[in-house]
Amino acid sequence: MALPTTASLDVESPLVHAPDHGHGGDGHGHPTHLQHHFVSSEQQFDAAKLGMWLFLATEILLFSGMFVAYTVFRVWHPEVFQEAAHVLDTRMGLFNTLVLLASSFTVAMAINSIQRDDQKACVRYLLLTIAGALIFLVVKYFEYSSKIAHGVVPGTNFAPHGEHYAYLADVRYAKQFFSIYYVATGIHAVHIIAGIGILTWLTIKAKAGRFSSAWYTPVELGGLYWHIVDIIWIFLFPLLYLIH
Amino acid sequence: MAHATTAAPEQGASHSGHYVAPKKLLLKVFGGLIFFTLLTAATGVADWIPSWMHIPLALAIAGVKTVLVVMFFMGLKHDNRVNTLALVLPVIFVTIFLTFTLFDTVFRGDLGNVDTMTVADRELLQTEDSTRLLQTRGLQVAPGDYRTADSSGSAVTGTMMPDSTGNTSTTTTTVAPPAGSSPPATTPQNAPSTGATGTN
Repeated sequence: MALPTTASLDVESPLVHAPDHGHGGDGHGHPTHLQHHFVSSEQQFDAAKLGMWLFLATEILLFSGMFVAYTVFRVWHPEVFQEAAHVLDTRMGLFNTLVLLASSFTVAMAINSIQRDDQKACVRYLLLTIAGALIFLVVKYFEYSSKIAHGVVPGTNFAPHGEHYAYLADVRYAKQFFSIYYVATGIHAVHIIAGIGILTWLTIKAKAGRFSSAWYTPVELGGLYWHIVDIIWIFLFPLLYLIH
Repeated sequence: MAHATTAAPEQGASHSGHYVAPKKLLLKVFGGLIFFTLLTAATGVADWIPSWMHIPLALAIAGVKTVLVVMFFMGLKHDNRVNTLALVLPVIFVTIFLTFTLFDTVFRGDLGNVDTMTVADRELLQTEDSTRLLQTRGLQVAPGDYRTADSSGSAVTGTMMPDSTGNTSTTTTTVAPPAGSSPPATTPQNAPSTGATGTN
């Protein structure tokens, strides 16, 4: 990944295609995807990717607040976490983890496909990724709704009742556990929803044939985002569902 | 967008010159991720694992899974080093964030204790004649306490000011200073009861 030092690299580099379109016949010797302020496609790709990684860094810091809150409360009241976590369904959490991992795999395969110029496979893998995200949300909906129906809600309205939930009323600080649970998984779910939007946009563009092995930056960046959402869940799952 | 017609010759990589992960490798990584997920689910609820090991084990497995995703799915292994920096730096900062927050929250102790007496004096009260203790020590903590101590006749010198020998000096003339020794020096037969009651 040598950094281009002169503008002449743009012309010499075997990575850059011949001027196949130009913009409206302005006669520029560069591919259409290459912005004027970049020296080469490679530089443009690397800059975009670094920008995405910096955004992912802020995502890590965003979720770190929740993980620190989790740690502080768990150190203070470990017994509360053990009691309250009984309500969380490990099988549902495990299933969702596997679904997210599979969607991470399919988005990696989507990038792999477009790198090989297989646009059809790319669309197919992107659709599979969206399907994984939707399955995740459906499972999450069932988890949330059963808790909310039994009064296990975040904040001051916390009033657990019903067969499997009533005991929470006697667990001191159970409310705090579920506040952490709802905020952490809720903001994660918001990221899943945002990811569905991004993946849908990518699918439409990919279907329109906008991406190729020469330019697939949005697919790459969308994939990076999707992976970080997966990584957050990789930590949330054992910390919330597997308290034993 | 007929890029393919004008493409440069392939060199085992994509047209853009980027590293392309083999499909088999991606599949293997996916298999590894599933394995570690099932492993963490199995060990997370296992009774034969000592309870203190559950959290470190779960975090270690999550760490391995993260490394797999980051290295192969996100492609950091073959990527610019600067992108790795963008991942490592926030991890370092999160560690600082977590560690220094815990320095506060873990060692707060009995911050809710608003007792006017010191814990050491409470312990002394459990072990000795409380009346005599109050007389000799005066239990002066804040400057305001000293004025009442003066009016009751107990001298200012009867406070817990350690002298050069480490013992508290009580030069009061009214009461002999057996109780004026430093707080940990309790009588042996009463010593076991001091620790449990001291933190009220």
